[in-house]
Amino acid sequence: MGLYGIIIKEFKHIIRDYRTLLILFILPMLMMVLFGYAMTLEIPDIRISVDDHDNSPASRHLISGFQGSNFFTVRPARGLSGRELFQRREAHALLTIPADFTATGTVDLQIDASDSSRALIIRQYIGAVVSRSGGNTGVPAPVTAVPAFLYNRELESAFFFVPGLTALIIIMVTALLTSLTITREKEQGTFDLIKLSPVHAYEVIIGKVVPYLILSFLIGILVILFGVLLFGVPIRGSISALLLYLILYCLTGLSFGILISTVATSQQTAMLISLIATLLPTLFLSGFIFQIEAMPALLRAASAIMPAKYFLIIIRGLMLKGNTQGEILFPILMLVGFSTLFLLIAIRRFKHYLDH
Amino acid sequence: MISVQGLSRRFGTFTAVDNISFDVAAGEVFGFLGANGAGKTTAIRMMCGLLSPSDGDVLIDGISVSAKPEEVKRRIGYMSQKFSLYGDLTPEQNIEFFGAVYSVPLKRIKAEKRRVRTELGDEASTAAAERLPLGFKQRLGLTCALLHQPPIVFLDEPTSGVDPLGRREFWEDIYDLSSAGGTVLVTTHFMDEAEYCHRIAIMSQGRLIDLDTPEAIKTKYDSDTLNNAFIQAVVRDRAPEAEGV
Amino acid sequence: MRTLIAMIKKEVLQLKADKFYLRFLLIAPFLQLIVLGFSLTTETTNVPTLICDLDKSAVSREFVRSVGTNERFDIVGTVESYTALDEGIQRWQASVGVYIPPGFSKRLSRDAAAEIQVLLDAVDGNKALTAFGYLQQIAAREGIRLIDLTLQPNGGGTRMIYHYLFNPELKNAAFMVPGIVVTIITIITLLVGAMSLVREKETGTLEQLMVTPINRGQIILGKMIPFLVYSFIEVAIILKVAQWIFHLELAGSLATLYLGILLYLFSTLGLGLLISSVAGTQQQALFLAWFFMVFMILLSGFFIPIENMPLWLQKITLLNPLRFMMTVVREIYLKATPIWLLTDQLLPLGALGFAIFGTAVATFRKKSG
Repeated sequence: MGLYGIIIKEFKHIIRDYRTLLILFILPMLMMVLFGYAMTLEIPDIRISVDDHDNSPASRHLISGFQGSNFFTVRPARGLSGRELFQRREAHALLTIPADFTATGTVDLQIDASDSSRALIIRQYIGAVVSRSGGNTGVPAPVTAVPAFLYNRELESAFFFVPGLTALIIIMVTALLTSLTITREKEQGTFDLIKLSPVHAYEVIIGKVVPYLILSFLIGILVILFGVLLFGVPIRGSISALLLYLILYCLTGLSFGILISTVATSQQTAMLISLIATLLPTLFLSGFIFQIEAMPALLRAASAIMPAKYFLIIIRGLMLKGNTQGEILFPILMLVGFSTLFLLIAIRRFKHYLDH
Repeated sequence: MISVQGLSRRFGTFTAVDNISFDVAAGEVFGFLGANGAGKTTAIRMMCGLLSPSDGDVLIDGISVSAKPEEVKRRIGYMSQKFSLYGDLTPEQNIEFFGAVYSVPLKRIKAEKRRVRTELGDEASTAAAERLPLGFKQRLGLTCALLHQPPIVFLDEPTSGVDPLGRREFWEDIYDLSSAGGTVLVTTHFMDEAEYCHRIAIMSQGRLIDLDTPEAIKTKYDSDTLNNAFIQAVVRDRAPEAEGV
Repeated sequence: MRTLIAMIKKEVLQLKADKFYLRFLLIAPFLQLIVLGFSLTTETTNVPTLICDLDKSAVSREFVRSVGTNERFDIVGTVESYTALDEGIQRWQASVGVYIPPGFSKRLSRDAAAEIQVLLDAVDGNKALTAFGYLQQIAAREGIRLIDLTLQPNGGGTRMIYHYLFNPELKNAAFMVPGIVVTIITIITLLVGAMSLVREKETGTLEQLMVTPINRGQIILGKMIPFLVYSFIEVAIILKVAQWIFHLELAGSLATLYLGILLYLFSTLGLGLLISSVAGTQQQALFLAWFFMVFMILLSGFFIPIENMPLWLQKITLLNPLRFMMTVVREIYLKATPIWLLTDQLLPLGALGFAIFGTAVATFRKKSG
């Protein structure tokens, strides 16, 4: 059949299955739109109930601080306890102003801490309003920190998720595709034909990899393009370098998929392994959403062997920081290393499978 | 036993089965022949209640398949051409499953399991059915189709891929069924097997073009083998009207 | 009845026959729980930080020390210029750079006010903002300490005593574990459920099944019941494991939780059945299921609070059964919210389950001749 023939055949298979193709292109688009419009970084609306037992000008002044702010919606307490309010999801926080507020200057705040990260932020926001309105000295904090947000001055969330989504989608799609295509042939028995023909193991692998490489590369470019055109994410570094490492990353994912296919016996198994090994770890351990530095040592070690982690640095570096390749040499080397490793192991195992 | 009445099935503009009608008597071994794509499988699927007809109906033991498919299914056994039992389960587990689904008495299920175990040997009967050699797979298929001792059995190319010895054994089983009063409708591409049938029907391009005993058909097409007769029948049907009989 | 039992038995036997699958179904939830429970921290700690202290006074050194000892920041080095700070961030050596200008301490004692500059790698805007928030806090606190102001009881500021309800230690896992429980169930029932029927279609066993007197209801139930049982057992086990590892307990009623899960499973299993009926191959079923799964999870409030989304998107989430399930599980797990306060979640959950499952059954009926 020859290498060329295998590649063409694989292409035809892909194009014929237009439903899968559709999903492969639409899914990333929709995810982009979703993340783009759904993810916001500020807390828009804190529902705070106030129970004012003092009813003095001072307490009313305090309450007006919340009423006037865009961040808060003041709800009546209706005589319910904090626990009851929170169970009804009517408020996030209950501020109780005691009858002797004017004298003691102390208020009591209960916060629904079921969402712990939010709880912290809610406390900070409320605390800010309380300290701002309380007292007439209005002492400014003696030491103020002036921030400079580098590379993303407007704190655009798109800058954050476009590179991350690219990393996530590519590795998911590539591993799934190659692992499925090979196990399907295994299940249907069409490999027996190939085993008999004078085709080399590496020809079979390259034959499968090339069409999917082109496919996943296109998807990657589409995602990045979407981000650039729709959300204005810049590419401050070298575009050709970006494309090169995108190809390399696709290759890593594809090799990984082939590796999976050598151990999976059925398509179902291949699917499950691909998912466990790509989607979830990449989402959680690559540094995309959750900070690696905040994780326990074991997880940090696991993170060190994720190709996605290194690709994320590369793509963020090339797009947002305008890094030169020298500045991100370490992640580049790691990505090259993983790619080669997976490809070699995959070829070797596959050859073993074909030869017996 | 089986009464096919004006059965038709269309898929869009394509007519797969075109107004066929015939009857099969109880105890008959009825051969259903046709070239690939003639509409045999579609017709059989309608007779089994797997597909609903565009026109017409099939009566199985007097019961309409369109009106009461569940009742009909209790009375028929079906064996498809490709192995369609649960390959990841053992032969015994397959027997247990289909036995339960057909409400077969436990005693019979046990007996059948024992029979299969003796035939296949302990190792094979406790391994995944997928791994059985083809001939055994077919026999397992037949066993499961006959578990509930149905009065009618549909066999779709039951012996394809089986060696001549296996085929002969298979047909002995079919004759046993028939002498016990069972009705068998079988499709096959092996013309020597078709000779064993009481009567055969030939389908071509969705229509029924012949229905008679094997002898009568051979005479009609002036051939000494059913193989030639069949080929002639189909060729003639496909040729333009000029070539009348 | 005998048929139904036979069907369930067959499904279980098939599961047992596939050794890998079996191991996966048993182990995966725990792996996920552990990994996710520990990794899902939206907190920011150990942020690599570079310091550039050009003041080099006792005061500035004291400030640097307070940043360094704070667990949120991990000082990875000191540099001697602003540009060096910038470069350090550029080269991915640190995410935060603290710049104390020369004359900082003098200005502080003279004007009772001084500024420090903070460079933040905003490639991850969230992380940058949070890190900055903490630095601000430290700056404010330390600033007050450094110039030794005393707060007057009522003039200088209002004291706020705060209590964190339901989760006093602000354990992140408390928020994540319930979400993980439901997500795991979703993934398994949806993905595996979607493949189940297609597999029978592809191997031809569905046809053999349809020729028997079995009715579609028995087929569907036979496939669903093992998953129902599995999900219930999984939930119980995960809750126990979460108790050991994270010391978190289910605060509310297990019965209500199970009710919610039951209603929810009608949606996921129904969706799986629907996908199975329309897909031609296992691969298509997989991709379709994956598609739905990703969106269900993204729009459930697990990662991004629904309140943070634009209004039109929030309306769309009303079609997502996982959104309601997520609320139910969190409320019960942490706040012991009783069932009568959860009707606004359980009713939509039930309605969606009914609608999806009904559609699935109707489609299956139609597609199987």
